[in-house]
Amino acid sequence: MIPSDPIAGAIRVSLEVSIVSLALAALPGIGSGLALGIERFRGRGALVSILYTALAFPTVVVGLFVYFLLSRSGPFGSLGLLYTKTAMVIGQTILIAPILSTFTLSAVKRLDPALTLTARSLGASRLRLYLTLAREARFGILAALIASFGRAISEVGVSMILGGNIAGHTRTMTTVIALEHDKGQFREAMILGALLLAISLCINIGFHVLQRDSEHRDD
Amino acid sequence: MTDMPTFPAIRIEHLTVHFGDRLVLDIPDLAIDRGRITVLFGPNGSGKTTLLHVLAGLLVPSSGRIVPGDALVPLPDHTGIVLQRPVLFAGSVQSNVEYGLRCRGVPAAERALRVTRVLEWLGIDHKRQATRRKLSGGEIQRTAIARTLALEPHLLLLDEAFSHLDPEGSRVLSGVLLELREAGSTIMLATHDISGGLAIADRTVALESGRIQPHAALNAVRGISVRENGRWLFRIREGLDIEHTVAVEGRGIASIDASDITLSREIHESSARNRLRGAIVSLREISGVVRVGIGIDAGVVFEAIVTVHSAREMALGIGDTIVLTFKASSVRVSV
Repeated sequence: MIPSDPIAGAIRVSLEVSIVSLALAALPGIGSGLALGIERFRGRGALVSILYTALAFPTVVVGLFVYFLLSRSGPFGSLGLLYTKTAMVIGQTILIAPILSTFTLSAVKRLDPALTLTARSLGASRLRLYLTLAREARFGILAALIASFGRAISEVGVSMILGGNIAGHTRTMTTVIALEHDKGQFREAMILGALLLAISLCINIGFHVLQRDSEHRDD
Repeated sequence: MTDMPTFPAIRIEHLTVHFGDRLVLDIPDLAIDRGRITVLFGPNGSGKTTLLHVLAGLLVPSSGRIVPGDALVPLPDHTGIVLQRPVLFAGSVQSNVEYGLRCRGVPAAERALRVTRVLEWLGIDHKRQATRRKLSGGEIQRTAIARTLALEPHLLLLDEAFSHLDPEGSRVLSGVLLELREAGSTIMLATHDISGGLAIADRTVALESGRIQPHAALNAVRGISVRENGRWLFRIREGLDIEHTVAVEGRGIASIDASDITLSREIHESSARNRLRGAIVSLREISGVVRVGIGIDAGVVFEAIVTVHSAREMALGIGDTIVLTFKASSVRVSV
């Protein structure tokens, strides 16, 4: 049997790390997606290609990259962040920022170009134009947030490499599942997997309610 | 022959716009009269929208400049444009109309006053809380117009603003534009269709393939086409009729090409059925011709085109009484 307290701790760590990562990645991710959708500049195409490529980064590759930065011999080794929740947050933020950026870009590209022209004709500053288009693209941006949260809470590589799967400290739902599997406790692993899905489902339902309310209110 | 009765609100000098290698606008010189309604007409793709976008500061021209008539009134801060395709932002009609005011930092109390005023003016105050999905095409257009009018622009640009409106909406907008003109606003209205605002034009400018057509100007007036004593008459108001040959009855618009109008000091016998007396209100020399504005009646101004030589020979001057003559067959009527 799986003791309940460690599971509750793993759920808490999973939610905490994923939510903080999402909050940290939101501004640069959504902001860069808006900028790429609105502005035209040299190198934009190359940047978009890199971001789309980043969607396919294996989580272990991101984990390893941040590991080298934070390890004792790395440039930020002196900060002593390795095997902490902060390190996991850094890894997950890097992992999900491209999702937020590309989903937002895609949502902005689908908007009616007349909206930009109308906002400019009414004297909108650049910041107001960004905010206006973000509001228009809110369903796409909400989808980006849902997808990013799903990616963060379900990944193993970053949590394992950067968190070290330390019980009660950096152990997450996914690393517990991996551990139970390694121990041959398949039943427990399956139960935890179902629990993880249930938590994700509840959060997604919350997002969808938000989306529906916003649709009724503003359109 | 450069005397003019009005000051230009803006003057366009040596303006060109290229899209890639293609020259889409080439206007060496054009003055837009202050406090007048100028209708820019021409077929689709003639450069009307491009010109309005340049005037609104939405498009940087390839060369040339726009000179404000008054150096104290900077463009485009005092310019408002209603774009060709009206789109509303998410949110209520009220928040849409407030949008530009927020952009310009207008205080909340002033915003509320202006929003109420323009919504009532355009007859959509009852839709104040409605969102875009709950509005008809005409209501969306009226909201888009209200949003621009709330900015109280000195120069108001409207791109095909009548095209999404029903007859009632068109009537309301015509009334609003005439009121704005009376209040001193300068209005430029682009249209490809004679029913779209030409009836309220003080002046028309024809654009084709990006160039002003100095020899093309269309006079349009609103009224009722009636059949009386075997003749077709277009009644602009009681006592002011134009004879025409189009067999249609009802309220509509009559248009006469400016080049079909001849001018004389006295009424001469001729086969032309229409002779109107008026006073010259404007004289403008463009590309070897003179466009003469003649006030027929309060609010009704016709434009005629004569050669520079004729204008000099007739010694035309502002305020002179003049007779306009044109054939019934040169009057086009649409109801």
